[in-house]
Amino acid sequence: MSGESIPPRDLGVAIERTTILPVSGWSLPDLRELWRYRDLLFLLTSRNIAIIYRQSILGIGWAVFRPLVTTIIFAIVFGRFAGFADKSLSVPYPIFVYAALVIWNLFATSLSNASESVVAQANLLTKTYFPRLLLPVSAVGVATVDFAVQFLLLFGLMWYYGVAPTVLLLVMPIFFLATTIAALSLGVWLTALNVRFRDVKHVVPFLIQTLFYLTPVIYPVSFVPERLRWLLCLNPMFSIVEAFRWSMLATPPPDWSLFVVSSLITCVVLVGGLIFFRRTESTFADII
Amino acid sequence: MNEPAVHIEGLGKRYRLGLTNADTIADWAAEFLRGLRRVFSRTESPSGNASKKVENEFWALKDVSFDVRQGEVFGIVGRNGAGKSTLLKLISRVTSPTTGRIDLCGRVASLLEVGTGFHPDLTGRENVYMNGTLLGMTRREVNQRFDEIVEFASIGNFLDTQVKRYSSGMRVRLGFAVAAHLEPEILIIDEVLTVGDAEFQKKCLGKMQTVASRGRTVLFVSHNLGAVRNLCTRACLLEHGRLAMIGTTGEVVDHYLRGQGQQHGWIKRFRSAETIDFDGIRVLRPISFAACALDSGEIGMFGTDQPIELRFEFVPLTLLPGTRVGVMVRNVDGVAMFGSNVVVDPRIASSSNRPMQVSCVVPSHLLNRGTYVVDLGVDCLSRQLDQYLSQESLRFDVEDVEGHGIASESLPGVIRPRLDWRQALRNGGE
Repeated sequence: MSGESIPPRDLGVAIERTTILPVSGWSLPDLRELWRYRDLLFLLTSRNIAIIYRQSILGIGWAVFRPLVTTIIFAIVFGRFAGFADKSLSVPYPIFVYAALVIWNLFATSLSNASESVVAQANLLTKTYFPRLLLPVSAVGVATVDFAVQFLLLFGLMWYYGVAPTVLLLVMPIFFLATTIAALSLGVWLTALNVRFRDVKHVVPFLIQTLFYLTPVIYPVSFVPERLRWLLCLNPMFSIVEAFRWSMLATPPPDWSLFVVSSLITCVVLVGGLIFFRRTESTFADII
Repeated sequence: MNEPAVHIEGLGKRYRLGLTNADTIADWAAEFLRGLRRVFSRTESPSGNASKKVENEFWALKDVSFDVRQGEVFGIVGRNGAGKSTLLKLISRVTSPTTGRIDLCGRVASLLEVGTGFHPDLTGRENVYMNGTLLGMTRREVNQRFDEIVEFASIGNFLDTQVKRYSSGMRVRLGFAVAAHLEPEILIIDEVLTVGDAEFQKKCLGKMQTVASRGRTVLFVSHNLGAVRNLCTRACLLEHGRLAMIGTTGEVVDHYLRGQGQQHGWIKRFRSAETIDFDGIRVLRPISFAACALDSGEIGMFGTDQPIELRFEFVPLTLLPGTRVGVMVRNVDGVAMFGSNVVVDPRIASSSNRPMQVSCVVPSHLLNRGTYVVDLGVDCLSRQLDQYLSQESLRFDVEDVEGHGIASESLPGVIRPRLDWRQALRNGGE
C-alpha cells in the first residue's frame, strides 16, 4: 500500500469508534489498548536505551562497572572489616553479594526510572495521546538491559569461584518477573504522585536506600531476628533477593510462607497503583 | 454513512487555579488543613466559600456542542484564549473533559506540534519511527511509507545522522513529512503549518488538500483567516470558551471580523463640552470619529477586501470659510501611509444645530495587513496658524482574508493593491 492511490474503503473493515467522557469511577487500565500500542512501547524503550548508551565510550560497560566496584567495596568493608564473611555461607562472600546485587539493581533502577518516567516525558504527554502506562512500563524495560549484562557477568563470577549452576536456574525467571512487578507496583504509584507533588522525586532515592538495608543483600537472612522477619516482608524485595540467590547459587532457600505473603502484598499494591494511575492519568497533561 | 465524524455534546473543561495545584506535599497538607478548618467552623458564611471557589476555577470550555460531518474540512476560529487549543486537546485525548462527551467515528491523528518525540541524539531514521508511532501509526505502516516520507522531507543523505546535526529547517521538514503521511479518518491540525520556508509550505498545503479531497475529515485551527477561507467548508467560532457561531466559513469569518471590532480605539467620542476653536471663535463641536464598514456600524477590524470609511461627526457652530477636515493614516511603525482632506461644504450645514458627517472612504485592496492609526485634523485655510490635531485618534486593524498560501506572514509590502495580471501569446512571428 504505497503511492498516492488509496484502496477503497473496505466495508468489512471495522470502523474504529471512540467515545470520550469525563473521568469517573475506579477501573483498571485497558489491556487491549496497551497491546495495540505495543509498537510504541518497544520504540520508547529502545529509544531510551539508545539515548543512554549512545556516544559513550564504555557504553554498555557502565552497566557492569558499577556493581563490580560496589561488590569489591562491600566485600572489603562488610566481608572483611565487619566480618560478615565466613559466617557459614555456602558460597564465597563476594559472589554472595554480587548475585543479590544483580537482582537488587534491577529493582532499584526500575523503580527509580519508573517513578520519574511520566514527568521526564512531559513533552509527549501534552501533545499526543497514548496510554500513559506505557511510560513506567518502558522505564522498567530499560532497566532490564542493565540486568541482562550484569547477569552474564554473574555466570563469569560463578565460573571463577567454582560455583556450578543447578537445575534451580530454571526457576530464576520467576523471580526476575517478580522483581519487575514489585518495581512496577511501587513505580506506578510514585510516578502518578510525582506529577502532582514534585517532592516525590526526592523521596525515591531515600526510599531505595532504606529498602536496600532492609533487604538481605549484604547479609544473609539468618542475621535478622526471627520475630522481625514477618515485619520485613512488607519490603517486596526481602524474599525475592534470597530466592534469586537460591536459584542461582543454591544457597538456602527463603521462607516460602514469607515469600507468598510478600507477593500478595505486592499484588495488592500493584492493582491499587494501576487503578490510581488510571484515575489520575487524564489529568497529567493539565498539571505537568 | 450519515454518522458524523465528530460529535460533541455539552463539552466543558474546567481548570483549577491557584494553590489548589499545590506543588509540594507540604503545600497540599496546608491546603487540606485549611479545608478541614472550613468544614468544621460553621462561622464561615456560605457565600464566602462560594466566591472563593469561583475565583479558583476557570472554564476553558463551557457547554460546547456541534457535529462535524464526514469528509468535511472544518475550521475553528477565535481569539487567543477562546478555547481552541483546549478543544483540540480534548478531541485528541491529551486531557479529559470535565463535562459532556465526544464521539469519534474513525481513527484520529492529531498534529498539535511538529516533531513530537524527536530526540536530538537519535538519527533521522529512528526519529521517523518514533514520531510515526507516537502519532498513531504502527511500525508496519511507517515501514510502508518510509520511502515516501524521506522523499517528501528531502533530507537526502542525512537520514542516518543524528538529528542534532540537522538544521532547524530540516527538522521541521522531517517532522512534517511524517505527519503528512498519516492516514487517519479524522485529522486534527493546530496551527503547525506556520513554520518552514515558503516552498515547503506550498508542499504542505498541497498535501493537506490531497488529504481533504480523499474524503477524510479535517479539523483545522488557525489564526490565518485566509487559510481557513481557502481550505474549510464549514467553521465555528469560539468566544471565551463558548460556541459563538457555527456555519459556512464565509459567515463565520465575517462574524468573527465584526466581533473583533469591539476593541478600544475604533471609535473616538469627544466630550460633550469640547469645541474646536480658531481665534476664539467656536467653529464646531465634535461628536465622534470612527472607522466603519460601508453602510454598517463602526468596527475595528477590516479585511483587505473591504473599504474603510473614516467618519467624522460634529455639530457645525460657526463654519469659517475654508474650514477643512483631514485625516492622516499611519502604520504601527509610524510610517505615514497617506493623508487626505476636504473643505467642509457650508451649504450642507443647516442652520439648526443638526450634526453633520464628513467622511472619506479608504479603498479596499490598498492597505496591507497590519494595525493602523489615524490622526484627525481640523484647520482653516484662511487662518493658517490655527490647527486642531487629534493624534492617533483611531486605531484599526486590517486582516488578510484573501489568503496568501498558508503562511501567516502576509504578502510583504506596506500596501497591497490588487493588480491586473495579463497573459497572452506574443503576436506575429520573428
